[in-house]
Formats: sequence, C-alpha cells, structure tokens
Amino acid sequence: MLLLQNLEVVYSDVIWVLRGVSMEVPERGMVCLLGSNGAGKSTTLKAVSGVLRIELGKVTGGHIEFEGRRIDGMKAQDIAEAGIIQCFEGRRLFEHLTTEENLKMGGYPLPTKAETRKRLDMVYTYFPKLTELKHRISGYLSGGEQQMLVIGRALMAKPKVMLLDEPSLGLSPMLVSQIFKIVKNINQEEGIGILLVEQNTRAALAITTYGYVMENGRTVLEGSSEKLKDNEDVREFYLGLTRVGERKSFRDAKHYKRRKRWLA
Amino acid sequence: MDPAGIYRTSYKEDMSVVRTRGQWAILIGAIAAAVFAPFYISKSMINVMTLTSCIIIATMGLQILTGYAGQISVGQAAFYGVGAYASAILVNDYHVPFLLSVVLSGCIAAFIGSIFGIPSLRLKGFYLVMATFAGHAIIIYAVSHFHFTGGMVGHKAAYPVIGPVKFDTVDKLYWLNLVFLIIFTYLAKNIGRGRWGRAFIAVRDNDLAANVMGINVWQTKILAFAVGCFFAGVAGSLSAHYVGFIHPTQFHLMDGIWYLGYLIVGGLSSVTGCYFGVIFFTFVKQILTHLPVSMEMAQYVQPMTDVAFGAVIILALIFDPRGLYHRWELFKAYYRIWPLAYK
Amino acid sequence: MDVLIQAILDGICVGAIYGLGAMGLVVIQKSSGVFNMAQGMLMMFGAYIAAMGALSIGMPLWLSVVTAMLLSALLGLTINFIVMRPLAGESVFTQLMATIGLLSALYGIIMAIWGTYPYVYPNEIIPTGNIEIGDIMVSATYLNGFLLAVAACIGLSLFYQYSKEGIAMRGTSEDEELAGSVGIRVTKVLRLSWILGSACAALAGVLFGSLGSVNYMLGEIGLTAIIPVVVFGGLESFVGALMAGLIVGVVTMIAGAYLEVALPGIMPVVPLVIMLIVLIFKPYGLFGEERIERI
Repeated sequence: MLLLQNLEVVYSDVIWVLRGVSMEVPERGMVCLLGSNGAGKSTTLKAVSGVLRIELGKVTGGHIEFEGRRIDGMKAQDIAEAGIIQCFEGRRLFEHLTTEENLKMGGYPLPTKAETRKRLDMVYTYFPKLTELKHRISGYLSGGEQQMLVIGRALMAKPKVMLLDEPSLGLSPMLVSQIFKIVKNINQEEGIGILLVEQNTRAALAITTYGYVMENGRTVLEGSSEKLKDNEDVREFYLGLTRVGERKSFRDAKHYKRRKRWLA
Repeated sequence: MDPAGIYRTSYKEDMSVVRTRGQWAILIGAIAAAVFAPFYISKSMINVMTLTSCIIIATMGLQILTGYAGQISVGQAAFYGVGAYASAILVNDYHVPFLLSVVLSGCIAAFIGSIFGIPSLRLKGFYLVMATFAGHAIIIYAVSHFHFTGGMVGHKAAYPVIGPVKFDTVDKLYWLNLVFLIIFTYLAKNIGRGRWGRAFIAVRDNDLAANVMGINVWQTKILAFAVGCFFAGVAGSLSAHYVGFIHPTQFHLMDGIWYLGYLIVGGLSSVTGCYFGVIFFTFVKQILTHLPVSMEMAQYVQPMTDVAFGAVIILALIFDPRGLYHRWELFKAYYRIWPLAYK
Repeated sequence: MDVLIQAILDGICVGAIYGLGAMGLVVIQKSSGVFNMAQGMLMMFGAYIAAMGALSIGMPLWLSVVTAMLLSALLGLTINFIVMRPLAGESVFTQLMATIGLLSALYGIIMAIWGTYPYVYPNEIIPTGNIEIGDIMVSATYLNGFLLAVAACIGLSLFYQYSKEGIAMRGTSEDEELAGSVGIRVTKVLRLSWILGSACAALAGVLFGSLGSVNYMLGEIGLTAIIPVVVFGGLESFVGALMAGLIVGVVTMIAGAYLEVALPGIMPVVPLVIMLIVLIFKPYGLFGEERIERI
C-alpha cells in the first residue's frame, strides 16, 4: 500500500540525509522502523507526509507510492486527505486550542458535522481519559495525555496509514505499554496500517509484524519482527544482549567486539 | 565548517576567529584596501563609506542585542540620536575633549538604553518590539521639544579634535571612523565569544532554562540593552561630528525599523551579517539615487525609490530568509565539501 | 464639563474606528501569525479608491466603499501570493520584515498614483444624521464609525470562536506545518485571512478618511495608532482590539482637549505611551493569550 523505493532526501541543498531508503507498509500492516539517533527515521516519515519543504528539505531521488499513486511531490494537505496522517515527534499539538478543538482539527477533512461527531465518539472510546479533558487547553496537558491526544487527532481523519514518530518519548513505562496496546487495537479493529518509528526496540518489536533497521540514512536490515528479535546484530546493538541472551557486562567491553558489518 | 585538514587541538584554537593563514591574508588585505581607499576611490564614495561605517557600528550593537540576546528592538535609531545629541552638546556647549565625549555619549546612550530595556524583563517577542518602538517615539519627541537640545532648530557639532590633530578633511574623518569601526568590530566579536556572549545566547534561546541554570536573566537582559545602545551612542556621536549638524528629523521612526532590516537581511546571528546587510542596502540606495531620470519622471523619483526599496527587501528575504550571511555560509560549505557532497 | 463629555463621546467613536483598523490586523495575525506592518497602507488604499469612486466616477458612497473593500481584498490576495507564500514557514521576524518592505513599496505606489492632493468624501455611508443633546453633538460620521466597528467585532469574534474555518485559522497561525499535515487547506486559510483583513482595512481607512480628508498622512496612523492599539489589546483578540481602540480614542481626545496647550504635538504619542503603560502591567496586552512555554 505504502511503498518507498530508494528514497533520497537533502536538506538545505548541502546535507544528504537519506541515501537510499526502501520499505513497504502493506494494507493493515504493522511495521516498525528502528535505528539510533540521527539515522534519518523522522526524515523518512516527513518525506512521506510531505512536510519537508518547510524544513528546507527536498526529495532528490527515488519515489514514494501510496495505493499505486506517486505522492512524493504532493502537498501535505493532499497527502493527509489521501489517508496518510503523521503523529510528529515530541507530541506536536495546537497548544493554544482546547483538547476538543484539537480533535476537531484532526477531523477537518470530514464532510459533515455528524461524521465529526461520530469520529469524536470513537476516539473517546479508545481514549477515555480525554473525555475529562475536553475543554482543557492542550498545552497544559501532561505528556501522556498529550500523546493520547495526538494519536486521537490522527484517528479523526479516517486514515489508511498512520505514521507514529517515537510515541514513547518521555513517557513512563506503564503508559508506554498502555499506549502501545491501544495502537495495536487500532491496527486490528480499524484496519489502519501503522508505520512505527521507535527507539524503544523491545516494545516496538513486540507489537509489530515486520521491521526495518536504518543507519546513516540507509535501510540496512529488514525482516519479520520474530526474526529481528533473534538477529544477532539487532540483539547486540539495539537490545543490549549478548549471544546467550544475558545482559552485557562492561567487563566484556574490551574483549572481542562485534562490528557493524553493514556500514558502507 | 572548516576546510579539509583544519582541526583544532586546544580551546584557544577552537575559539579563534581567524583560523587559517589564508583567512589572515584576506583579513589583512581587506584592512589594507580600506586604509588606502582614499587614494583610489572618489571623494563622494569615501563620504558614503564613512557614514556607512557609523551605521555598521550601530547595527553591530543591535546585533548583540537582538541577534545574540534575542531582545528585538526597533529603537536603535533613537539611541543613535541620543549619542549624537549628547556628543554635540558635550563638545560644543561644555568643551569636553572629543574622545572623552564619544565614550561619554556611548555611556549616556547605554544608560538610557537600560532604562528602556526594563520592559524586556516582562515582555517578549512582538510586544517587546512595540515597547521599543514606543521608546523611540518618546525619545524623539523629548529631543524635539527640549530647550537645551535645540528643539526643532537642531544643534551644531564641531569637527573632532584629538590632541594637536584636527580632523576636518574627508580623508582624515574617514580614517578616524575606520579606526573606530575596526575597534568596535573586534569588541563585538569578542563579546560574542566570551562569557557574556554565551549568557546572551542562553537567554535568547530559553530564558527560563537559563534562569534555572544560574544565569541572572534580569542582569543579562539589561546588560544586553546597555551594550547595544553603547554601540549606537558611539556611532551616533561619530556621525554627528562628521556631518556637523543634527536635527530631530534625522532620526525618523522608520530608521529604527531599517536597522532591524539591515540585520535580518544580512544575517541575524553574526557580526559579519551586519556588514553584509548594511553594505547591501547602501549599495541599493546608491543605485537608486543615481539613476538618471527625465524631467517629467522627476516627481515619481521619491515614490519609486520607496517602491524599489520595499521590493528589494522582499526579494532579498525570498532569496534567503535567513539572511545573506546564511547564503554565504551555504556557499562556503558547498565549496568545501565539493565534490564529496551528494551527487 | 461639556468639553469632557464631548471629548469622551468623540473618543468612543474615533476609538471604535481605531478598533476596526486594529481588527483587520488581528485577522491577519490570527490566521497566519504574521503581523502586518503595512496595514496602514491597506487602509489608505481603500480610502483613496472609495474617494475616486465617489468623487471622480460619481457612485453613491456606500457603493464606492463596497468597491473599495473588494479591490482591497484583491490587493490583499495579491500580496499573499507574491510576498507571503514564498516565505511560508519562515521565522516571524522574516515575515515581519517582508511586511515592512511592503509598507515602503505600497506607500510608493499610492503616492505615485494619487500624489499629495487631499480628497474629501461628499457624505456619510449610512445616513444616520447627527445626534444632538444640548451642546453636545455626535456627528453622523462618528456614529457610522462606531456602529460599523461594533458590528464587525461581533461578526469576526463569533466566526473565529465557533466556526470550523475559524478554528482552522487559529490552528494554522500557530503551527503551519502541523496544520498542513492534519489536512487543513493552508493556502485557502491564508488567502481568506488576507481577504478579510484587507477588506476590514479598507473600511477602516474610509472611516478615517471621513473624519477629515483622505491624504498622504493616513498611512502614518497605521504605525502610530493602529499598531499600538492592537498590541495592547492583545494580538489575538477582536474584543481586545475594540476595547483598546476605545480606550485610546477616549484618552487621545481628552489629552487633545486639555493638554494640547502645555505639550504641543502630544496627540500622536499618546497611543504609544498608553501602550507602554499597559504592557508593564499586562505583558500580553489586555486580552492577549499568554504564550505557553514548557522547558
């Protein structure tokens, strides 16, 4: 459904960020994108949702296809109407609007008020906490509540694919598992495809079915989540486990060190 | 970004402004070209360059206030005026020696600047801009109506005298201003690199976090205003003694906004940006005022100059919204990474 | 006593006109986050077009005013297209400087077309007639200004608070990137805001022009009076703009009546001084929204 092929992105004409990223999100699929900081994961998502221009970025190679159509040149609002909604990193909201106004904004493309009402009720069933906070100014909500609001807002527009950029950022472990459970529900009950960018590799691999690993602007590894969990490179570099499955001890740091063989 | 092969091994090297021998060569060459300018550039151009150097000093002050400390001010022209008036009165009415008068007028402007900087403790962003705008209007109103400043008649300012040397020719005045320009550029760059510069930048980026870290935000903001207005006051006094006569209409409400314009078009976050901005605008103004026009068109000259000026600002901003300095930095980066950049 | 009451009544009406001019600015600010320094010029443009319509072509005044509003809206649309769109997403200062460049350019164009000749409107827009109570008179022009300003304020406030488009405009001004990614037609929102803002400006300009004559000084009012009114009323509030306008109007008129002898030329400075005083006590203006900051 969503297909990226050999995507290349450049910022400010001089900074080459993405150097050939290829991935696919099938219909109703649940895919995760892993990688350490600076790998280019957020840029990939921004390229898909079309907001690169504001950050002086450009797609200079490769292409992005959604349901057979090329979307890499399209404007952000057209891509959103086509059904791709992104939840930005760091819980970006309309801070001065209330919770309900934020949700209504999410439902902007919906044609009638009745539709909006229906979607609002659906979002409130997924996130009951938000009902109490309907008229609170969203800038004053706590981190977890804001994250719920962001995902709820994305749900409003009847998306076909949701791009989640690090939803677990800065949240308590309990809230993280709560939110991830809700995301899994959304994927299964509403049939919405999810592309999840995460630093929390363990949690991400637990709920997704397929995964890609990015380093330095390239996809370097892909596979089903089961296989990735057992993959020795992933275990070493992202899960911090040795071959046997134990936590690494610092004492071993000076001994034989596994090297990343996929760097070009 | 430095050229390939240049790396820093000590803190001193890291902070240095001029990094390579090539850069030293360019710097010395530029200063030499400026010093010998009167011998190969026409008198009218020297006149323009002298006035421009005063404006650059004032703009550098604004750069410290707005670029480093983030306190946007459109009142710089008023403090320029305060410096001009103070120096003219000190030298002509009280016979204070020139150099002392320049420093004193800078201090007076700094003092008044700190007072008008007090709103910055509560106001941010656009509200602060308007507060400084109001400050400008009040200062100009005061200056046009007080008796000892000469009111609407204006005030004379004598030629500078340092010791036995009287600066009364175009060339001598040019060199005097050049010396001040070099000194103040050095000052501005050093303030930016030092402890106070870092405090300014911290306050600009997030004053709440700076406060939590132990920076006295109140003190820092007032100091930023004081320093910025000191530069403006000195620049004003230099220009007063160059032109010889000052009058309230020289410090128009819009001039303060133009200073901000020079800064933004040139590049808000660096001292070099000031140079770019002021020189660019002086260049444009010179072209516009020297266009040959026929007699029937003469009545349209002033409006057309305004239109062209406005259009030039808009085009410059569209070309590179972060200022010409940013475009220059991109150019350098591109050149240095070539051909290793993408494609 | 009569002098005071006359000053207050005049002040309320003139202040309402200040408020209307300010509201045009607030419209543009509320939707695109851009503070349009050239608002005074838009006002002047509208005033001159209406004058041309009424005096040179001979249309009834209300028709000229409507034409002026339409043509101003067109000008606003052009400005949005040429100046604001290429700078979308840039920092606020950059966009602000662009409007300052616009200020200069528009002033030049208006001066080139109409020169310094003053035009005087033949009559009022809405023939209400003067109201006289004893020695105190509220002239028809002043009354016009007041009624139209209040109507505009109510209309705009309701629109922005409750309609979907209004909320979308508020969201866009806050975070354009986010608005685009949510599906809001950002270009449409910006176009609408410039159309509304320019039309408001044209109306305000006509009303200002009706107070005396339409001349080249009209643009200055934009800088020295309208902008302080907007600032201390709070950049995001229509009610604030109106209230601030009323306060400024009343105080300026009273100052003009009593202080003109002692402090000549004080009137243009009054709005700025009021603004400064208000800002000291309420840093975000009387009705402004406080900027939410989280470390």
